[in-house]
This record gives sequence, structure tokens and C-alpha cells, in this order.
Amino acid sequence: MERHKFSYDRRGLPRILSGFPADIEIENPPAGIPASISGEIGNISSEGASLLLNSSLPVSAIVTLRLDLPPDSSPIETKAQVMWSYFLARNKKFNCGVRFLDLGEKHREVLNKLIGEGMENNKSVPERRRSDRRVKTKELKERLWKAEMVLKKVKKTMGRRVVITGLGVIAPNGIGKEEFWKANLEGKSGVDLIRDFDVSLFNSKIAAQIKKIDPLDFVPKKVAKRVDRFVHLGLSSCKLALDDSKLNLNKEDKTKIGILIGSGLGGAIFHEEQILAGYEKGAHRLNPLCVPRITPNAVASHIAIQYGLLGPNMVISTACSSGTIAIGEATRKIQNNDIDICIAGGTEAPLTQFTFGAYCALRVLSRKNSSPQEASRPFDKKRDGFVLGEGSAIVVLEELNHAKKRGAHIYAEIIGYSCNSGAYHMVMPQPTGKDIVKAIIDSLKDARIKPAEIDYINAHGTSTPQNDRVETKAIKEVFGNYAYKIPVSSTKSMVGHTIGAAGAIEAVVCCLTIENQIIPPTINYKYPDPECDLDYVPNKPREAKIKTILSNSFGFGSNNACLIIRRYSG
Amino acid sequence: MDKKQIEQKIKEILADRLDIDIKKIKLDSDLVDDLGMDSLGAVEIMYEMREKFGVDIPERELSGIEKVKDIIEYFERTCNKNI
Repeated sequence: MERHKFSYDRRGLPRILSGFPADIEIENPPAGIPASISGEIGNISSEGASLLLNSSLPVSAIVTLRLDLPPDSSPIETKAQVMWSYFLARNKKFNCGVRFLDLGEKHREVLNKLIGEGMENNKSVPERRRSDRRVKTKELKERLWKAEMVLKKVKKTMGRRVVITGLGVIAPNGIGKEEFWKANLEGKSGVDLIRDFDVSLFNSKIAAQIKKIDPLDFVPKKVAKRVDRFVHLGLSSCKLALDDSKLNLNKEDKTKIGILIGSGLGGAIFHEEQILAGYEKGAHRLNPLCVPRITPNAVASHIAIQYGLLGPNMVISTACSSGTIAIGEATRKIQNNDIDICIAGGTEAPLTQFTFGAYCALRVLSRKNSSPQEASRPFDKKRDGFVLGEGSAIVVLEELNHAKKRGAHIYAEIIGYSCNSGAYHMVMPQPTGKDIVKAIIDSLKDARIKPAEIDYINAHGTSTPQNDRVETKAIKEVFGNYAYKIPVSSTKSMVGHTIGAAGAIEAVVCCLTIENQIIPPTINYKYPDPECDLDYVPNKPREAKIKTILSNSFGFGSNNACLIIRRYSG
Repeated sequence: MDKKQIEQKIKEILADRLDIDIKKIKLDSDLVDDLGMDSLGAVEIMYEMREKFGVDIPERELSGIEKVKDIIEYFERTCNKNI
């Protein structure tokens, strides 16, 4: 039998709380009431008990009560006076209170002993104090307060919409949004032979490089000397974006401005230089700025230092989807009311001998060295890998009301974001593309739109055989027959694969597509692939009515992310 | 190397690393207050000295270096010792 359980009454006195049998015999029962009633003990103390009985008792009646307490104690019999009696609808019984009239000393001891034992045996029962009720009130107040906070949070974050109000881009085929957009419409490739370092032994000898950029145009000399190229590019595109947004930072609450930048590799160039220097001169003679120059978060920190921005500051490194995830997470931060403005994007400068060699060794790079500008050909049957590129893009994200209040130009609104992992492979996409399908569906759900509302897809489209096939398959699975009607194009056909910057550059393309209502093409598309049979906007830009765009990014290590960007219309 | 040459070289390093006009660097200029050197700047300049002249400024000596002329004096001291 389960051992009896104890509870405590309002005054902190213990009672037996259980269903042990209790029998009652009534002397001279009035008409309609049986002489003997059975039931069970509700609570008990040495003064009296409350009983759950099968029928009601007349108040003040004197009854004989027989209690059958736990097996190791003797049964108790006593005369008792009925104090109250009422019907309990909950368990369809009568709750009767009785006061013991002649409970013998012996039985009183038994009861007290039982209660005492129970107190010792029930260590889990917290010791109650006289201030019990006050504690309970406090608990209730705390719960109420928590609920209020949740409600406040919901109210605070409800309806917070995020818009893009500034674009800054430094891409291999154009610096600044005007030049970059013009190059996109002309189908101008930024890919060329590598001349900055020796590639004679590599299979691939081409890359998308930014040629004419002087960091001093954008960055103070003292800073420029202390940072690696990926930070140069990041600071430069950040300046472009902030100028474009016309934000007056001095008028803003700088604690409400965050920075989220994507970078896959960090300061690869300086890292490599220092490793070589270390081998040459000894590791004790490395440059003192080694650590602050190489670390990937240097870019976000330098932006913060330069502009005095005090909000959350971080770098996201999820390989090829870093830029998209940075923008998506920044959107969430604004939606959650952590910040009002976020400088978000990506930057990458991987063009250095070792890093380039590492990508060559991975055999993911195109080997079409004979005509570099035609090497990146996403969705084409003869595609043979991507072209590594450097670049940076940063967008200014802003809470809608904040942007409206200062009369900012709104390029577009970010209405959906999702990211997930395929947990599959460090380099290969999941062959069925189910993780990509889920990412796209999740972003549609987040945006609360139907698949048929997507007017254009800016594909990840790297130009590797696997990615383009799986991406096409996933798009067809999500959109069904409608997939054949959506224009899909790949920016990487022109700017190569800029790893951590790719997603951000593509977000800029989406904004400019919405702004100009022209879809940039997938260049170098010549030979249709039966496995890639969608409308890839081959080679020529196309005017179209574009309202909502899906932008895909899938990173090495199965990191998938999707953004849904929509034209802002009030 | 005579004193003038050393002075010129050190001023060049300071101007380059701290991004200031070389004409503004006087022998009496305070490295921190006048030239805006921070701790990273200090290690950078130490590094440059070592790379260009092979002169190591140990950290315990740093506390004695406040002005441009202190660097030059330290320099002469170590160079003479080496000779």
C-alpha cells in the first residue's frame, strides 16, 4: 500500500491527506439517513478530520467514527461531532467535517506519531512558514509579472517590419550600386586570369577579382594599414551603404544600431603572409597585428569603431551562405526589437595562393582558363565548377517606422527568412535536396505567402554540376508546375562565387531588380541541361513585373538559407 | 648612421604608422598625447624598428619612452653598445 501522504493546513499544521477508509455510525439517525455510512479520510489532525462520504450527515449530530489508518497502526474508534457537511460536485461525494470528542490519549499519540513520521518521511515537502500565504501571493505576482512581460514583448515586437534603405556593393564587375547594376544588365563578367600570384601549377588559373579599388578612397590611412583586404572591402561597402541610406548617425541612438557581417575565411591574405614570414624568420618574429588582422570579426569591429556603433556586433561564418544568414539574422534582431538599424552583409577576400590552392585541391573550381569570362556558367550543361571571387556587399536594414520617420528611400522589405542544416556533408549538397526544399518552404511560411507569389528566384547557382542540379530539383519540388514559369537567374555567372559576400551581393541584386523591374541574366548559358530545365533568363536581362523575390544561398557543410524580399508598398 | 639619419628614419616610421604629417613630428612631441599613438601603434612601431634596424625595444624600457627624442636616445645607446 502506498504510504500515506502529508499536506499542511493553512496554519502550517500537518495533516494526513489520503484515501484511507473511514466508517461512520450514526446514533438515532433521522429519517432518510442510513445508520452506517462509509467513506474515506480527507484530512486529519489529532483534533478532528474531514471525511469524504457517500451520503450527507446532519450537522451537530454525534456519530461513532471508525478510522482504518495505515496497516502498522491500530484502527481508531472515537465519538465525533459533525461540524459541517456539503456536497462536493467535483468528486460527487459529501465533504463532512468532524471534531473528535473522546479520542483517547493512546490514539492521540498514534495520530501524532503518524503525523510526525510523515513529516520526517516527506523531506520533499518544503517546510512551510506562517508567511505561506504571502509567499504564494508573491509567486502569483511573479507569474503575473512574467506574463505581462511576455505580453509586452509580443506587443513590442508585433508588427515590426524590416526594410532595406541603403546599398553598398564592391563586386568584381562593378564598384557601387550604379556601376554594378549596369554591369549586371550588360552581362559583364568580372572574371579574369590571376596575375597577382603564381598559379602556374594549378588546374584553375582564373578568379573574379576587384581590380581598381584604392582602400584609401573609403578608409582612413591609419586604419587601412592595420587591416586585411576583407576588412578594406567591408569598410568600403559599408561606407557606400551608409552614404546611400543618408543616415545621420549623429542623430541616432547608437546603442540601437547593430552590425552583422558574413565572412567565410577572415583575413586569409595576411594569415598566409605571416605563416610564410614565420617559416622564414621564426615564429617569434611575427607581426604584432597578426591576431587582430586575421580574426574574422575584425570587419564588424572595425565598422563599429569607425562609426561608434554600440549595438550587437558579430560575424557569421557559414561558408557560402554567410551573407544571407547575416542579413536574415539582422532582420530577426530588428523584428525582436533588439535594435532599430543593422548594418548587415558579407565580405570576402580569398584570393591568395594558399587559399586558392586549397579550393583547387578540393576540385570545385572551373578549369575553363582559355576564356575566363565564360567560365562561370550556372545551369549550363558544360558547367565545370565555380569561379572563386572576392567582393563585399552591405545593406542598411531599418525598422519600417524608423525609416518612414526620417523619410528614407526604401528599396525593399525583407518579409521572409529561414536557415537550416542538411547535416549531410562538408562539401556535397544532399542529393535529394530535401533540406533545401525545407529551407524554401520555411521562408515562404515565415513570409506568410503562397509559392505562386514568387515572381523571381535569385538562385545560389554556383556553376558546379551538383549544386545547380539539386537546386533545380528543389525548386521544382516546392513550386511544382509553377517552377517553369518563374524566372531563375544566377548572379554568380558574372561575379563568380564570393563565398561570404555572395548572399549579400545577391540581396543587393534583388533590391535593384525590384527597384528597376528588370531581371539580370544568367550569362554564359549555351547548352541546356536536361536536369536543369527551368527558365534561367539566359544571357539577356528581361523586363518583368517583379514584386516578390526568393534569394537562395547554400553553404559548404549543408548550411542553407533563404530570404524573401518584397517591393515595399505601404 | 649619424644622429640626423636616425632621427629622419624614426620620424618616417612614426609618420607612416601613425598616419601623421612628418613635419608635425618634433623631437619634443609626446608619442601618446601629440602623435596619438595607442598600444597597438606602440607594438607596431617596436616591430618596425626590429624589422628595419634590428633594434629590439624590450618592454621594460617602454616606460622610459615618452617622447620622440627618447626613442632616438635609446637607439643611439643600443647602437653604440653594438659597435
